[in-house]
Amino acid sequence: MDVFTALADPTRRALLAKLQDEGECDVGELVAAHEVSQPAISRHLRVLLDAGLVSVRQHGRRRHYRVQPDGLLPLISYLTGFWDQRLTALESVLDGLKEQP
Amino acid sequence: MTYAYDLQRDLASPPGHVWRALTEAELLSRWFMACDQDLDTLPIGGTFTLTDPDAKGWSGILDGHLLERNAPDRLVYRTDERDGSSSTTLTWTLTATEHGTRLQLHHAGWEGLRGFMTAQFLRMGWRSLIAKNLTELLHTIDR
Repeated sequence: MDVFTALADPTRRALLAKLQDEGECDVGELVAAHEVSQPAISRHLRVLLDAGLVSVRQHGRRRHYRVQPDGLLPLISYLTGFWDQRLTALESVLDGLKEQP
Repeated sequence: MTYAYDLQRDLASPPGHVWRALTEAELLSRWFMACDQDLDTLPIGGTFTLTDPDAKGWSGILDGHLLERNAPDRLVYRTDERDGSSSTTLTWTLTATEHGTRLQLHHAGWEGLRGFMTAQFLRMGWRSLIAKNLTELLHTIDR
């Protein structure tokens, strides 16, 4: 799943915010913080992992999750590309207006 | 908590031309998004729709509400994403310069984590178009 779809869900954004605040959490801590069932949290974490937005570290029997900032690069390049494209297109529209009488 | 970002570009055209590109439906559709109303004649408080068929990561449909218009200096409208996921306000400011027009956009009302990231990334990306100090930036989220 891509980063756009992954971030479209409010629970997944809340999980990312929690991980950002705490640095690192295991599943139990995330379940306690979000009042969502453990299977649901695990599914969301799987999506975030697939999108490259979090990484996981095995510590004993527990899996610890943390934010993987590089995962956001596609979002950044889309957003910056959006405005760069738009304003470049604006310049060509304006060039067209200049040629009108 | 909501966030905003600002963009600015110096254009080699007079404010009158830039104003037309920002308000006429036909011109808007050629550079920004398809628009179903002419914003230069729509009454203040009137509604319009902006659509982007190539949108990625959002619905691509914005319900617009015209809030303020002072030709050719200032245009303000709110855009509500059709799926309810955001409601933001765009303030366009045009200033005559020696060579044309300085166009500024203040885009405010981004909420939560996604809003913060969007605002920060656009601000940052605008300078360099390259993500810098991303890890450091993310450590400041919601603090």
